[in-house]
Amino acid sequence: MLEVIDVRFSYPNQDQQLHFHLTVPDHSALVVAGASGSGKSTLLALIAGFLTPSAGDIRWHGASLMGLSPSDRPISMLFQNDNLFPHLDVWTNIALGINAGGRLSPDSAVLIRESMADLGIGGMETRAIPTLSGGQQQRVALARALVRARVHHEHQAGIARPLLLLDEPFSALDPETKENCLGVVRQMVNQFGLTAILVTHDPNDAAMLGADVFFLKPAA
Amino acid sequence: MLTGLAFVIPTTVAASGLLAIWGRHGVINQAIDQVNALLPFVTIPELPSFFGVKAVILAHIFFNAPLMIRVFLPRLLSVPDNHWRLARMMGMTPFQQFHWIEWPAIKPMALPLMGLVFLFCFSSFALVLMLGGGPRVTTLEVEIYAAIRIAFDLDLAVGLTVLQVVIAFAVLGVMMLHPMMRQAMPQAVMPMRPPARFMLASPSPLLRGIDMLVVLGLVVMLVLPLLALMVKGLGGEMIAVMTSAKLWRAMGNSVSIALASALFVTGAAMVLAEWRVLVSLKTTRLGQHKTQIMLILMESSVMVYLILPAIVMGTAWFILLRGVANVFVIAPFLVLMANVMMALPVAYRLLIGKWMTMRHQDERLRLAYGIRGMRGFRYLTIPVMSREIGLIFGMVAAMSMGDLGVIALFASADFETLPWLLFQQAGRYRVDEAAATAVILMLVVVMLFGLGHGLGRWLSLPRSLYRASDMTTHATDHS
Repeated sequence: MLEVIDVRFSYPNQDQQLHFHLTVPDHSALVVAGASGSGKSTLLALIAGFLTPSAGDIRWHGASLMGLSPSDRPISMLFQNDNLFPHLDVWTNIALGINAGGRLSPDSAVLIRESMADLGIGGMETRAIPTLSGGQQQRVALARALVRARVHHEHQAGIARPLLLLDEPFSALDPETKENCLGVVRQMVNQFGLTAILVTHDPNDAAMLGADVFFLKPAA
Repeated sequence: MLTGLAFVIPTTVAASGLLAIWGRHGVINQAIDQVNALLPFVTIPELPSFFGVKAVILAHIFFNAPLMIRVFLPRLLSVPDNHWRLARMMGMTPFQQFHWIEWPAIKPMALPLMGLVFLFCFSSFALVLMLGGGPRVTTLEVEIYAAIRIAFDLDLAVGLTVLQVVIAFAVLGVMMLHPMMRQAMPQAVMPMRPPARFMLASPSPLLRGIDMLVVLGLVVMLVLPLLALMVKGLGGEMIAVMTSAKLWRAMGNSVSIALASALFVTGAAMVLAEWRVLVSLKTTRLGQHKTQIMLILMESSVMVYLILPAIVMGTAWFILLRGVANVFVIAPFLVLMANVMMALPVAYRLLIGKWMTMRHQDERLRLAYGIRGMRGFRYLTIPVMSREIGLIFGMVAAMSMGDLGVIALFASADFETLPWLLFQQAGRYRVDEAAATAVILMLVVVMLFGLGHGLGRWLSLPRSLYRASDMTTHATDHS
């Protein structure tokens, strides 16, 4: 279970203080909605460790994440854009999620191939990123998140990263491709036991994902 | 901002600055003397002669390290923030960040930039002449100069000039195979704007400390020679130098040539850019074949600056004109011509990218509303291009003001420029006089560059096609 307990945060030179308090059960999806400036993306950046709160605590399975670097947190995050390194091929982009040193165990290689097949991008290992469609690119990024989660569960290597943070990664896609990608996320939650938090402006996303909705009120 | 110094500071000033620190009479040796006077039993040895290979190498680092930064930094800054976030999320080590993110970002520019720096160093003249310390450390350019001015051996000068051009062409031919070569120079000379924020992938205190040390070292390397020069130049000989008629004559010559070069080059570059646009819009009367030839000539001309350094160009003028005119009488014209010919291709390259984009974007609007000719040029083109126009004017003026290339061949007692005067003083070991002249030259160069900046700002001021009184009348009618 992820607990965000009375977390407060202010951007430098801004008066308004953002305040977050929520709980996300394991193996579930939560959609975070709210007006622009309500702090949706900030919430994800705080959970990921890219920002440091001024007060409060963030706990995963009862253990505080405060003070941990992003790489030591159980998270994988997808952004609205620039999720992939365009100069690297599909395989390398996914493999970086397991080991940035460029070395993979045979088990890890099998896991990558399995995950690619599960997400419908099997056979694209050597494809260059710019040659992929927007939907395919987001699936590659999702595959990287999936291997980061499964590498612990199935192979007992590295730390568990079953928390998937999605910062409007599908907002630029056409409706059909977007629905398809949300289906993949739903599959990752249901089949592989990930916990997902999706920031979105579209209220229909919650229905497509089968998730609860958490509304953020604009800061006072 | 500091990296821009290398493009403004004349080579003669930089050489004087380095001598002001590391030379026999430099700041360091003066400090050692003072410390030795206080020490009773031990004597700290003074720095040996600075002239030679190490001085030449240090001076070229002074000029080329900023160029590297100006090309590489924008490429690193263009890496999306999310890639640095991904690096943090994946726990990449500094080496892994370099391998996966930084090197791929700078790699396309690495080879062309190395080639560019090689060509700059290969065609170096003033630095080698002032810091080489004699015939042991010399370059083809210096030998060409010596053949014409000292040995009066024109055959040797021609032979060396041909050799210089052949080697430069060969290197350039290899470099031109690389598609990024043409981008390297405009990126190197365009002003850099500081980033709003720069996300560090690994903000560990140790790495930040190392980064700070490297940056600090570079700042010291760039600033220290100029500071030492100021200290030395503003000392004893400044008043004597300032009251010398020779200085003011040289100053008058230099400023006149600098302003004339800047004016001519800026105007010509704008005409060429507009002509290039008209060609691309197919509104010229030239045939397609002729147009293509003209375009190829124009586009490749930027490299002329690298292939034909000033001294080579000057030698060509010298040999061509010596039979028909007294080259020393028409020296001002020759220096002006050489400056214009060398600066024009660079100015054109700086202008053309944005000029083309802007003109293609608004051509339909111009046609639709009939805003053509000088009206379009004054009210629509100039305000958009003001920054680049100001930069070109300032840069060409500064470059011409500080040039010690062609003048080295054509200078005489009747015609001297400020860099030539400085070179003469340094050559006669009048260290304090040279330092004072260098400070004056530096200040004038900075003022000329500032003049270009001011021109750019003035051109960017909003100008309405309509009279202000018309707008007031209109408003009154409605009230």
